[in-house]
Amino acid sequence: MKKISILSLIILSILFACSSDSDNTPTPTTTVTEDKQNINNTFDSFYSCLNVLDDGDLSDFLLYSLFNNTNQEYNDSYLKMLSDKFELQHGDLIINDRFQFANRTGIYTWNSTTNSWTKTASSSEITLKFPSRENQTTIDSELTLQSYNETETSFESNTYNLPTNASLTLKRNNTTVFSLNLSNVTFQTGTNFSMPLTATITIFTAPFTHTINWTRSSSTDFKFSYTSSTPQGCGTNVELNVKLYDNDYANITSLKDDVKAVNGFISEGNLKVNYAVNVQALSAFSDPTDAQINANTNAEVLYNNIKIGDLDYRTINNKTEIYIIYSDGTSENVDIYVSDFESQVRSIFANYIN
Amino acid sequence: MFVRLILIFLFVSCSTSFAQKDSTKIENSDLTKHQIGIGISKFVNSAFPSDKNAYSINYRYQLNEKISLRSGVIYEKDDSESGFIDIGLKLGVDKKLKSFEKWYFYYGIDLMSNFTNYKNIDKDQYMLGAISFIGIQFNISKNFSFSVEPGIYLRHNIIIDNATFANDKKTSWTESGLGKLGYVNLNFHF
Repeated sequence: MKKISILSLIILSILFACSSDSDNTPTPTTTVTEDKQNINNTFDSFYSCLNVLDDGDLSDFLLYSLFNNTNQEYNDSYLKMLSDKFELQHGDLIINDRFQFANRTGIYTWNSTTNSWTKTASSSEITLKFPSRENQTTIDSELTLQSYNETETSFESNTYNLPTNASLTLKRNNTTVFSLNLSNVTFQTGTNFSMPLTATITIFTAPFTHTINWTRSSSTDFKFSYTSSTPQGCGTNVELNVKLYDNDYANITSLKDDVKAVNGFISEGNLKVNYAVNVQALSAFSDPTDAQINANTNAEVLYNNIKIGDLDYRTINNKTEIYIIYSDGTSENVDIYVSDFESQVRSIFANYIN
Repeated sequence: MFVRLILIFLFVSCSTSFAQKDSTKIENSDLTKHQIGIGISKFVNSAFPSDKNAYSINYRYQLNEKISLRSGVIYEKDDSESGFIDIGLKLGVDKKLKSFEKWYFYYGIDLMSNFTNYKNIDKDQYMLGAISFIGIQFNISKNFSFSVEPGIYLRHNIIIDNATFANDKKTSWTESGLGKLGYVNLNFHF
């Protein structure tokens, strides 16, 4: 018994020796009033950026082509008709799950009088030239697929051909309104589960440029990142790091059973939220309490990379609430910043949302 | 996972077959004094659930015919950007209740301790607790056995947030319940 007591004492000493005994709380350089104002300004700036998207060239194209009716309701029948006619005249674009890029290269121009596509030779790309909307004779749109390659992948007992690189551009009146560039796409080979290892996708939705990256840092660590920016100064970044228990990708069944931890950040302008979740610890609880969730998660709010707040998970009247704790220890519900989010978005995109 | 299940099935079948040659009756006293146990969930995660009261590897020493001393450890450290440290130790004792051919029943108590810190979360998590359990052990052969130890646990958790703006940096709570209900240990006796 004496031995057990001595051992217990040693264990406790080791456990407390492992702890971080220093107070790492950062010293803010701004007042709480300034911090609140900075958060509000960031949300205002975010809504301005959504307005920039709504007023952009891509939005103009979509409204002109797909919402071309008196009620301004979505209608893609004209573009579908163009696509159907193309396949009827020149053959299907996808045969046996394979995209027929090499067999369909050429420059195709829509003739509104004959309602048909005329083809001129091109061995390097597929280009479609057509009027942007029904009952228009002027050809003002041009869709070009400059390159395309794919590889065979396996997911359990099924095989799929997925693209490894592609480059697509949509122009209206010689102005690029949309483009998609897919590159550096690799999959794990030699297994019955072709785990994506890397991918870079750049999407231009005028005037926004979005870049999506997927990389494998180690056999159990993956990183997803997203950035979007405009020449006008809008900037959004998202990063998600996922740590798996092991590299047995074929047997991934659920977040709870296969993911050990996730962390990353979300930033808009100068405002950033760093987050981390200990999925392994949370998985042990069937219905975790607020304390258990807060103990195994972390979310910090930063402005200009200086911490201005902590986010705290609380259940109030059976409703999940997120509170922000400011540098002076006071806290308030984040609803004061985001409660009007849906109405703001609906108002900005009113042309699309009826 | 299917392959793993087959391997475990083959392993158990072979062990049982060898046991049949030795004797159909294996009393616990026939087993050697030392026992190392590992949770089967470490091998087949999705088929056998893990448990928050479980330790990665367990050692059991048979002090005499009725009493055994026990311990268990957890140690995992990851230095990567999203790394963590998880260490824990338990100490306990169990006493024979009854044995019947290959079956051995016992009861006991474990005192548990644990420290965890995830770099990105930066909250020191301490746990001190105890679990009072009933053990059911099935001796496959002289050297192998399976066991389950369902019990009632009491855990006191202390969380120290090293970087929060909250006025109270310490949070603590106590939890209790039935634990290790489906947790199966594979034991090696030597």
